[in-house]
Amino acid sequence: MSADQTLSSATLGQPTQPAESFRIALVGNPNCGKSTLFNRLTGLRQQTGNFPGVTVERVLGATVLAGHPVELIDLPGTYSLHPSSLDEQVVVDYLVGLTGDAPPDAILYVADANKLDKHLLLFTQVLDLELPVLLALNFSDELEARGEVLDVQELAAELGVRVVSISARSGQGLTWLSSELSDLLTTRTLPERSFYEPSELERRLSENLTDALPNAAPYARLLAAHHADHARVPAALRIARSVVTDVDGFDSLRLQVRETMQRYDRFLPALRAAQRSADAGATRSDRIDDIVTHRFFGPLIFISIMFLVFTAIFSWASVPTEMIELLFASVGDGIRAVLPQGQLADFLVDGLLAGLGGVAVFVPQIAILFFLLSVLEEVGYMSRAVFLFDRLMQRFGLNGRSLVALTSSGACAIPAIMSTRTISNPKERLITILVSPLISCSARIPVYAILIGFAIPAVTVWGIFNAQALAFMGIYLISIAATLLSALAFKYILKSSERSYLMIELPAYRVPVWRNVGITVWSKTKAFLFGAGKIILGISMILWVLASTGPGEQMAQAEHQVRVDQLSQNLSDAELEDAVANARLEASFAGHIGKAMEPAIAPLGYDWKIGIALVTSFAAREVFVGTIATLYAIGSADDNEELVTERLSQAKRADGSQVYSVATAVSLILFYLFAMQCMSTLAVTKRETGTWKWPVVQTVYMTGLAYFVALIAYQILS
Amino acid sequence: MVNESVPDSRESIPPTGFCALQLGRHQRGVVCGFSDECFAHKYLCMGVLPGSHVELVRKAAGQTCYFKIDGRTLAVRKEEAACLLIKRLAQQL
Repeated sequence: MSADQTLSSATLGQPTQPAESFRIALVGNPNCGKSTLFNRLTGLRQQTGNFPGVTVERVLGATVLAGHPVELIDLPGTYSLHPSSLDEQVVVDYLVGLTGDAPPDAILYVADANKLDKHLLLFTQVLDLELPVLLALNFSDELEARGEVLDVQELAAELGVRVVSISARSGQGLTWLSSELSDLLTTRTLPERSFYEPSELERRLSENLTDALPNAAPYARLLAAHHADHARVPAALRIARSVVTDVDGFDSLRLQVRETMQRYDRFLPALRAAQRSADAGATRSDRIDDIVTHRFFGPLIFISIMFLVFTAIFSWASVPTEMIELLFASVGDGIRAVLPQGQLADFLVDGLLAGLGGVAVFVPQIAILFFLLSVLEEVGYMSRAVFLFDRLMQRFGLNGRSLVALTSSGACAIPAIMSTRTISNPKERLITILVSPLISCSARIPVYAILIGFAIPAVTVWGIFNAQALAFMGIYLISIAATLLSALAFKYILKSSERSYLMIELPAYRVPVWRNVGITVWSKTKAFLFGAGKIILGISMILWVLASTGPGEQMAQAEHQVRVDQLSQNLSDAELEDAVANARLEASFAGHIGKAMEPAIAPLGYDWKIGIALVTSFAAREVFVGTIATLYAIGSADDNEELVTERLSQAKRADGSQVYSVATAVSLILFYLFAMQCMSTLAVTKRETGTWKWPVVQTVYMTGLAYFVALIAYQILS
Repeated sequence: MVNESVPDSRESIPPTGFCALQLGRHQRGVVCGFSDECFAHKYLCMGVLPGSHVELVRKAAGQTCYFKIDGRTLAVRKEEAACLLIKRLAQQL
C-alpha cells in the first residue's frame, strides 16, 4: 500500500457533516494492554496499513467522542523513545513528526497499573513532546484485587496530567476515559511538568534543528538529533547533526543513559507519593512457568502444542471446507441449469466460480490457524517459546524472536516477514526474512492434500496414526529442517558487525481476551480473502481465457481432426468428448506455454498441464489447485460435482500411463515445498529490505533447491 | 567489554558485584551496575536499575536466563546476563 493510499484510508469514519475530527495516538510499553483498549474503543472499525516506507503495521480505528469523529492510531509497544528496533523507531519517527503525518491532537498513554515504576519512563518522555496527554492506568482491577490502593488524584497532581484508572479487559472505567478524553480535546491542556532537564549541549543540539523541524518541541528535536541516522528524514537534519557531532564530540549513548537515569530519579519519588509496589510472592504464572519453561518439559510442550495446532486445522477445517465445496458445486449446477450451454456458462462456472471456490475453501484453515496462534499469543505463551529456543535459533544465525516469525509462516509468510521488525539485529532479521517462506504456509496445504491423496494410502499405521496425517507431519518436518539449514548457510555467507539482543519480557499468563482473538481472526481472514483472493480469482479467469482460446484456427482444427479420426476408432460419446476437449486444450495458448516448458520439467516427471500450473503458481501457490481444477474441468466429460482429486486420478499421459503416479506426486510435493512461488512474499521482502537484491536471492536459492530436490526424488522413485 | 559502571550518576553504588550469570536457581541479589554500556541502556529502558531486586528463576539451554526483576519477568541471553552486576542481599551475607 502506498503512503497516499494509507493516508486517504485514514479518513475512515468521516461523517457527511463536516464536524471537527481529531486524531489520538495510543502509546505505551509492550504488554500494557494497549491493543485490547484499542479494540474496545474501535471494535471492527479498523483499518490496517503501513507506515510510509516501512512495513511496520499501522492500525487505525474510528470512534466518536462527544459528537466528534475521532481517529485512533495504535502505535507499536515501546520501552523508550530511544529506539532499539525498527518497530520502536517508527514510534519515534511518528511522534517527532518525521513521517510526514500531522501530529496527533492528543496522546492516550496506556500504562500497566501494576508496573508503574517501569511503565512511566516512556510516559515522562512523551510529556516532553508538548502535546495534550491522558494517562490511562490499565489492569487497575488486578491492582484492587490484590488489595493495593492507588491514589489517582494524587498521581495526577504529581505527574501534572489527567489520570484515569481502567480495565480494558472488563471495560471498567471506559466512560470515565471517554469523558476525560473529549474534555482534553476541547481544552487542549498541555502537561504541566517535565521530568528532565536537558544539558547545555543538548539544548544547543536541539536549537540547531529549529530550521529543520520548526514545529517540533525542543525534546522532539533532540530525539531527531539522536536518531536521525536511522530515520528517513531530510538530508538537512543529518547535516545539522553532523555539525554538533563534529564540534562537541557528541556521545549519543552516554547522553541517552544520563537522560534515562535522570527521569527515573525524578518520577519515582512522584510515583511513590501515590503508590507503593508490593513484592509479590510466587504467583500462578510462576507455577505455570515451572512446567512450561522447564528444560525438558518445555520443548516437549512446544512440540505437542504445534502438533495439536496442525491436527486441529485438519480435523476442524474438513467439515466447513466440504460444505463450501458442496455449495460451489451446487451453485455451478444451478447456473448450468438456467443458462444455455456455451461460452457464457463455461466462463461463469469453470472460470469465475471455480476461482471463487478456490479462494473460499481456504477460509476455514486460515481462520483456525490464526485463531490458535492468536490465542497462544494472548495467553502469553509465545514469549516463553522465544525464551526456550533462543540459543538453538542463534546457532542457526537466527534470533529467539525468529521463532514467532517462523511459526506465523505456517499460516502465511507475509505477516511473518512483517513480524521480523522486532528483531533488532539486521543480520538475524535478514536471515529470518530469507528463510521464512520455506516454512510450509497454509496456501500449500491444499496442494499437499491433493497430492498426498495420490502418494499415500489412507491407512492406519502403528494402531492409531493415519498414514496421510503422518505424511503431512513429515512434510512439515522437512520444511523445518530446510529452513534451519538454509539459515545456517546464510549465517556463514552474510557478514554483520552489529550486536544481537534478546531481552524479552515474559508477560504474566492471562485468559485470552476473546474480542482480541476475534478481531485478529476476522482481519487476517479478510486480508486473505481480499488480498490473495483477488490475485487467485484474477489468475483463474485469465487461465480460463488462455485455456479456451488459441492462436488462429488451431483449436477448431484440432477438434475437427479428432472428430475425423473418431470415425475409424469407435469411441463412446464420453470418450469422444474427452478426446476433443484434450485436443482443444493442447492447441490453446495455455497448451503452447506448457509445451514450451515441457523439456525443462519432464525430468521432474511433469507434463505440460502441470507446467501451466507451475507458471500460474508463481502468482500464488494456492492457484495450483484452481489451475488444475480449471484445466481438468475442461479436459473431463463430467462437470464440477467431482472432486479435484478424482479428476486427477483419471488424467492419463499420451501412452496411457497415469500422470499422477506416486513419483510425480512426491516430486511435486517437494517442488512446492521449496520453490519461491509467491509474488506477494517477494513484494514484502523487497519492501522490508529496501532492495530488489534479496527477493532475487530468495527466488534463485529456493527455486534452485526445489528443482534439484524434485529431480532427485523423481529419478529415484520412478 | 567496557569495564566501568554505568550510569556514572550513581556513584554511591560501587560496581563491585559479581555477574548475574553466577546466581544459582532461585537465588536473589540486587543490581549494582552494568559492565557494558550498550546493554546497560536496554536494561535501564526496561526498568532494570541499580537497586532493582533480581531473582534467577531458571536457565534454558545455552544459559538463556529467566530473571524476575522487581516483580517483572524478563528473558535475557547469556551475554546480556553477564553484563548485569549483582550484590547479594544483606540477609544472605
